[in-house]
Amino acid sequence: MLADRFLDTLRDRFGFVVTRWAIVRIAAFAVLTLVVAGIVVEPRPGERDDAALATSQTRNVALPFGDPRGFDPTAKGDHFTIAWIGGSETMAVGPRTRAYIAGLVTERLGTVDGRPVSTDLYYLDAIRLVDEVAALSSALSSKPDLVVISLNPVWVLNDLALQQWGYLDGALARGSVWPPSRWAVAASVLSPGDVGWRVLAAASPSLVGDRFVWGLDASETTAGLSFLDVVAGEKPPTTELGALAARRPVDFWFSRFTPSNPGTDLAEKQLGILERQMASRSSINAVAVRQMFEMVRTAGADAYFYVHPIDPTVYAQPDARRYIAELRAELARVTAGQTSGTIAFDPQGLQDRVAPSEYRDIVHVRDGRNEAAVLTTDLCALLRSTGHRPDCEAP
Amino acid sequence: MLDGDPFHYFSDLLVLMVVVVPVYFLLPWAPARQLVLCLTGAYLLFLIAPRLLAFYVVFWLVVYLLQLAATLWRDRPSSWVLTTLLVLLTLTPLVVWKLRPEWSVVEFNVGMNGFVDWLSPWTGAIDRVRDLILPIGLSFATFRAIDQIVKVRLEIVPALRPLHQLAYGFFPTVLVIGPVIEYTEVSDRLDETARWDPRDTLSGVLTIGIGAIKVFVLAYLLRGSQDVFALSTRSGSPADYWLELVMFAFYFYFNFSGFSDMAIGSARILGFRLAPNFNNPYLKTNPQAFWNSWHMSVTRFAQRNVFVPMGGMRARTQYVAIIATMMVIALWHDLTIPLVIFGLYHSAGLIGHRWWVTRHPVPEHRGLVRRAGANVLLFVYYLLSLPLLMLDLGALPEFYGRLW
Repeated sequence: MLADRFLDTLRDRFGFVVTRWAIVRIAAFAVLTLVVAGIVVEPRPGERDDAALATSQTRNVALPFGDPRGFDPTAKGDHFTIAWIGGSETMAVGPRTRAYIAGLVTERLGTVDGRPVSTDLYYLDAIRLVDEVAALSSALSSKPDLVVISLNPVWVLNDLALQQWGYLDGALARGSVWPPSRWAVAASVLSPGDVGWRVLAAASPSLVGDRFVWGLDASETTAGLSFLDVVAGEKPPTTELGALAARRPVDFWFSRFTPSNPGTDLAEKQLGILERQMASRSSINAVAVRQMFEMVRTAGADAYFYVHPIDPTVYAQPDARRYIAELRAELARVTAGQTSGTIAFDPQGLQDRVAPSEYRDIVHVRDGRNEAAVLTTDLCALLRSTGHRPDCEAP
Repeated sequence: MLDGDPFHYFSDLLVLMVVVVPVYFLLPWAPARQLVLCLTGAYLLFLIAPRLLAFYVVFWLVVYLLQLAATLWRDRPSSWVLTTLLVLLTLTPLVVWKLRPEWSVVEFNVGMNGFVDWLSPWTGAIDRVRDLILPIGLSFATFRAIDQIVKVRLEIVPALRPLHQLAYGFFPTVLVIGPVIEYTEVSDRLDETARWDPRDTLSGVLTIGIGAIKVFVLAYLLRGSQDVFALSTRSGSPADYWLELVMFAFYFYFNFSGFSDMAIGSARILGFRLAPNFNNPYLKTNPQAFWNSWHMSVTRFAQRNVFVPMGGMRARTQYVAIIATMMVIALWHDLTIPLVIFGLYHSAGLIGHRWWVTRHPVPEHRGLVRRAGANVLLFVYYLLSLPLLMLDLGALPEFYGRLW
């Protein structure tokens, strides 16, 4: 082997013999090099991509998809800070409006204890339960005054898609070290590589931690190394295996477990997912939900969990009503004993309290103001009960 | 990506070794060390997808039974019928996958997920988070299994005991991208007292480093050359196509041999000296030397199990043996017509070279120019076969047309 020949050469020419101390010296030197490089190399901060919806009080702190740093929480200042975790159900998209529901609530809250409210939104499309655990881990490291977690009724206890965004595993690893009750979820979804990269990133933040940005640069610089010209031709049709490779696992499993006709509308498909949720009764989801309660309890943060309402026209259907009733009962069982004076959760969800709104499908609302009003009321009540003085008179 | 990502596999393996290597060398009992190897490999498969682990548990248990069956009636003249049957049984999953990939890949994912879910709904939920996959590593595992069965049948090795079977089947460094190791490469080490040798560690780390440079620097820089086969979105002059094809050849080599180095280096850290898988193939000057230095583990497998049994060492049958050997090597990649052509093409090269040198013996010491000329000629001959590996039959005429 080339390595053996190299070591033989070192021995013959320089008298280098491999001993255990030589291995220790080389390892120490490698670690030192990594640490020094991490200090010397200029950091490459990630760029948030929410200019369209960010306001002075609310911004999405998620970094671009694939960046293992995950989120970029706002530095703690004089504000009353809220960390709001949720997926696409927390965004209202209507014909003329597009807003984070968290932003609408933040406007209504105005100030707390005389301090203006500042909300970091940990928003990801298609966020799933374990992704929310990872986001919560990042959020708690920024020491927010209040944590709000949206539980999507379609996915919260669904075993079809426990996790969507594996690149957040580093953030999950960081928050899973202690106590041991967190190891079950961590061992299920994390890999040693996730942990290894996380450790290296901690040792050398700007070199290893910022590798996503370095990778983008390297990819951009070297992408054009070719003798051939790019032409605008028609790409060959995708093979069946190619189409399979392009499918998200969740779509594949959903189509297998809840087959539907091509003409089936999205709301009906989502109702099928709800149905699957009831059938699965996934124990790992239950453990992940309880872990989120444990995390906020351990961090000493005030927290408000809520279940987003579904489209009232769908809810009017007997099947949907039954699924939601079962979900409520299951969530009540899963979260029994998890709430306290500072951690609020009503398994009944917001379903019966939000005035009817128009929805795009079963969970995506067009106008979030009705939901924001109820959420504001709940948050104000929680804040008052925990000794804060919220100014809930704002519009 | 259906075929998995070797980068993640090796990331996991290398981090895992921080724990596994000390445990392995501290354990005084060989069975415990074998168990550590087996569990490490099994865990790496679990990380790719629990359904893949479940599949390989079944696969290697079946292989264990088949090798026991291979010991039956060994002394009877007709025992080769049973051996052939056992080999065909071992080949069945691979052949089904290659012949009906669309059907088998879907059924593999659905069926094995159902099995895992039945065993444990918790693990079933984890499995559904993982990507949809091919039966990753099955080509390598099948050849390893056949080699084992043949060796047991020929009494080269005794039938493997269960723990040996699992340690060999789940040998952690070769599960995804080979090489096709022989049982005899690891058997002695499995049973002997494990003593940590710092030189093994450093040599392994250096080999991994060399592999990493090949994959993450050299192959990475050349990765754009994969588009040479994208006929509808790339264009260029014939010279451009030749240059791009050369780039692709080096991309292919650095990527494949780099991951092989990482597998071999990782095994070396554990004290296992696996045979090399590449030996500067692009510097060779004749087809025989090329195939003895390119993906050597598959070549060695084919030589042992096809070339020699078919009379490759005898003048009268050597050409048939060469063709059979090259067809096995070619069809190991996939069961397609272009790969049949690939096998025949390289058979022709090997036969032509053998025929030529028997009539025009090559002097032992040739001049640099002559050697360089032979090297270039061989490399061009090899380049012309790459489209057969990468393209469908219908696209081949257009691609070759662009080279002229």
